[in-house]
Amino acid sequence: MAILSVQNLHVQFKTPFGAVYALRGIDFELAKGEILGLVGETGCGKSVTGRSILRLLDDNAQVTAGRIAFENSDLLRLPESAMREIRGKRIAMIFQDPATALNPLFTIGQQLADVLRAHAPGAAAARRRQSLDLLASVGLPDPAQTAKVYPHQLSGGQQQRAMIALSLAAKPDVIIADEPTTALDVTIQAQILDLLRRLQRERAISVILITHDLGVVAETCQQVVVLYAGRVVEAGAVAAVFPAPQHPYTQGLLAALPRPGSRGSDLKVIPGNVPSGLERIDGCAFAPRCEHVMNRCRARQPAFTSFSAAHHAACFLHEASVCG
Amino acid sequence: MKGRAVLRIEVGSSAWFLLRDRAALISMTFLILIVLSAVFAPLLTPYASQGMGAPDLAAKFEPPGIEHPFGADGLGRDQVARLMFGARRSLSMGLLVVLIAIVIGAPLGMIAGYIGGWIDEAVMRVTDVFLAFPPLLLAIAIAAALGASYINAVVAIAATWWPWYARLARAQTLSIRERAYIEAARSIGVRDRVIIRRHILPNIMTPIIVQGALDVGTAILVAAGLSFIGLGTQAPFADWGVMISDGRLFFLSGRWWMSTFPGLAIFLTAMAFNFLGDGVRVAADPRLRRMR
Amino acid sequence: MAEPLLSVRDLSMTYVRRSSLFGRRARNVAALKEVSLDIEAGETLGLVGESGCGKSTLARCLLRLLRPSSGSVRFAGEDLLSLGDDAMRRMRQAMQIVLQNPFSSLNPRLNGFDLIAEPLRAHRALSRKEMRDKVVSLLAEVGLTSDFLGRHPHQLSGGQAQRIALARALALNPALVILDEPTSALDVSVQAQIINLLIRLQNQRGLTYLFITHDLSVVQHISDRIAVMYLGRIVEEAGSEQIFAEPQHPYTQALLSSTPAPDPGGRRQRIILPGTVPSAANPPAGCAFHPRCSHVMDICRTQYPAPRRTAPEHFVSCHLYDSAQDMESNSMHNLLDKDAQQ
Repeated sequence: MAILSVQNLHVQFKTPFGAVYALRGIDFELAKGEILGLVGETGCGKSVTGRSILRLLDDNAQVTAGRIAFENSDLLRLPESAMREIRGKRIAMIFQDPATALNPLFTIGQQLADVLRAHAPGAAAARRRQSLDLLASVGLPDPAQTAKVYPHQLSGGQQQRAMIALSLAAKPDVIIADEPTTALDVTIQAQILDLLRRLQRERAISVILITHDLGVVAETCQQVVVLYAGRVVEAGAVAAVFPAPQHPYTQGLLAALPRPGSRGSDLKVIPGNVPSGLERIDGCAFAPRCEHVMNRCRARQPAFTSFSAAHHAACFLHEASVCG
Repeated sequence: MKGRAVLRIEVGSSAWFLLRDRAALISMTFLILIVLSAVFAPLLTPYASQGMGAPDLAAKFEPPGIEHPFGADGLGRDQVARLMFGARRSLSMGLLVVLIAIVIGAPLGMIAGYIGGWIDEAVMRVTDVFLAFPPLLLAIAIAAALGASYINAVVAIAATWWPWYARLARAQTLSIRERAYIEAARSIGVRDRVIIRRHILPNIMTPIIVQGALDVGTAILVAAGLSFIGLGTQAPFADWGVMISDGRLFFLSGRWWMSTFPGLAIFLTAMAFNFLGDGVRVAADPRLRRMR
Repeated sequence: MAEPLLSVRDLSMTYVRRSSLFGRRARNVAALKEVSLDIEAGETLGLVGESGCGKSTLARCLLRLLRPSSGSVRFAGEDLLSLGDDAMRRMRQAMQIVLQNPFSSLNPRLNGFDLIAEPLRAHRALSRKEMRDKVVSLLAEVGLTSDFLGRHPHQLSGGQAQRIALARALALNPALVILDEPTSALDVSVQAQIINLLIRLQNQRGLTYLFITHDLSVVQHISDRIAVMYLGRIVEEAGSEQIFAEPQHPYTQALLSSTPAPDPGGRRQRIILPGTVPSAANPPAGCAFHPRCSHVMDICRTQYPAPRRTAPEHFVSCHLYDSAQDMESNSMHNLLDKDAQQ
């Protein structure tokens, strides 16, 4: 059952150079208790999607169409007061750079206590015990000591753990993690991803993991949504999409990765660059870079073709094969 | 092709933001008028010789009227003509002071910041010595030692002013020096003097020019101050400071126009340079634009 | 056996970090400790490690952008650390570096032509016409047209900007190019373009690469040999296939298993290291990796393991391999030099 569903989401940014089309119709569903990877390259709209859900977009952004369904309500149409009840309490967010997301003036313990007090009034002693439990549950060594330190006294990986502990304090149902490991070293990234998987397993939290790294998606997520130029090009179960990607863009991305045994050979390349977002795109956004491009790809947008209950791609190549 | 279009928009938009800033626009118009009236003063006033100092005792202490809109001074000279010719001195003093200060201070600051070590230490200690004195007092002392004249006043004020630019240039250089492209240039084997000229200088010029625009007004004020106490422009020529000084004895006896108009000229000009400098600063820094 | 193009022996670099205003509590931070390595002409050595392991410091010491505290760097038969400033400036033509983020390593105020012409102006006296022709041919070599002559960095995509940076590095026909995370700031599809370009340029020009990265999948694709660094030391060095097939140092093993692979089915056994990299200002005694190592023994806490040769081209610094041969030697330096004598 879907806990959160994004439907036909369109977002524009007003700039001095005209409107930038950041999202051109995003659809996906997050099922309860699963990790969904939102993956794509710079400018594909993955972070904008994450921020749209919590309505944390900059002032010059405008949602021009769409619906974000969360428990019978449309997050895009809730009054701001109701939205505040959801932000942090029901849906929490973790950012790429924990150093800027944590308040440098308060200790980790104080920040945790603040969140706990706001969500569950009770005795200070109980709160203290709770915050130590949280710090322990995110794998911070010596929680009592960690509660007493300021953010800058922690390493990058520990800051991200503290950030996760903070986001867990209000017992949210959904966590949106925007590139949570991009700023971290691989061995630390492995720790944080392991932590996310464990939280999902133990607390049945649903996670939207926004990343540019297909490897991270393959190792962490159950579902994957591939974005290109503000649209979903392919979506489905990781176990279905990765072995047999159907959209030429997904195929290109996977083939572009160096793999063991590929040494010295030419990597497959996607020619050209990502479109700027300044132009309207009538056809398939990937058409100018696609090796299978056909006339109709430029004229109109392909619909989704289903390959199984858990695997869809928007490409005329497959529409053709279905139609014969 | 697309890239070029973006560049044109960006270059255009700096100027556009400056023009949209109403205070800066009005200031710029005012300053252009003042400069034009100073440059073309002999053509614009029938009293050009009075502007240069020739007396007309028949019009002594004439109050503002149709003949003399701003009145006449104790030697009967038309105040409008005096102001226009005085603007030549006052404006040029302000501009020269800032220019000399930048030409001395910026290279010293850049070299100190880029090379560091004992050179940095030496330059910074010298600026400390200069900055330890109140600037006006130091300028008065230097001007008095050099002898009262227009050019000596300029030199005296510039001598108190360059340390600020040395400081500014050094601070900017220190931050630019850490940029990766400086390291990249060094690794290629580019000589230090080329790095300073091609990489550091262009990148520190914007804040220095902005500071310069802000400073011209203040420099005009200080120059007027030196002239007021007789250490600047000498008779028969006048600048705005001299005019205020000439009028000060008569202000309370009802001849208010002698000091008031040059005072206003200094006030408005200094303010206009400030607004303009502020406008340039905002226009040059896209991050500040949004706050407007 | 011919002398390697670059040969580093026992290179150490210690910063003095003052912790208070008056420097009373000065602390020594050892960024590099007794690093030794050889790079043969025409090969690619991959240098892998996490942030703070000293890999970028090593690159800067090799180029003498930083002064190492001790040790030696021989490049093309010359002792770099004893060269005069002018000789070093000339030597820089033969060794170039490409940095991680082209948008910070290219001066935003210069256009494509000036950026690529900069090294030529510094070292060659060319006429305007010659300069332009040379710049255009360099652009072509990195896959860009002469349209890019007038463009400034902010008008370029990441891949285009990195190509300009590469053209700059190639302008003086260097023998060695140090690539410091050249693809880390790029998107996957663009990363593949740059890697292909790097390999093609190496084949065409016979370049030697030192490829510094934290990304193991990229490094195995491009490198002949790989050296793994941890906290200022090289802990393992071997041929690219060899190190991926049989990683020996526990750190290398963890690093390999931590790198996410895009194949959900082929899930290997994951080693998740506890803790974080210790500060170089206060490194653990003995083997610096011992607080995070699952195989830690008593000796690891007190004694740094000397490098051992466990296979013909495989060196590892770990007490687990103490029983391997070459017991008498006490540094990788000796092992390497003995090789050279044979």
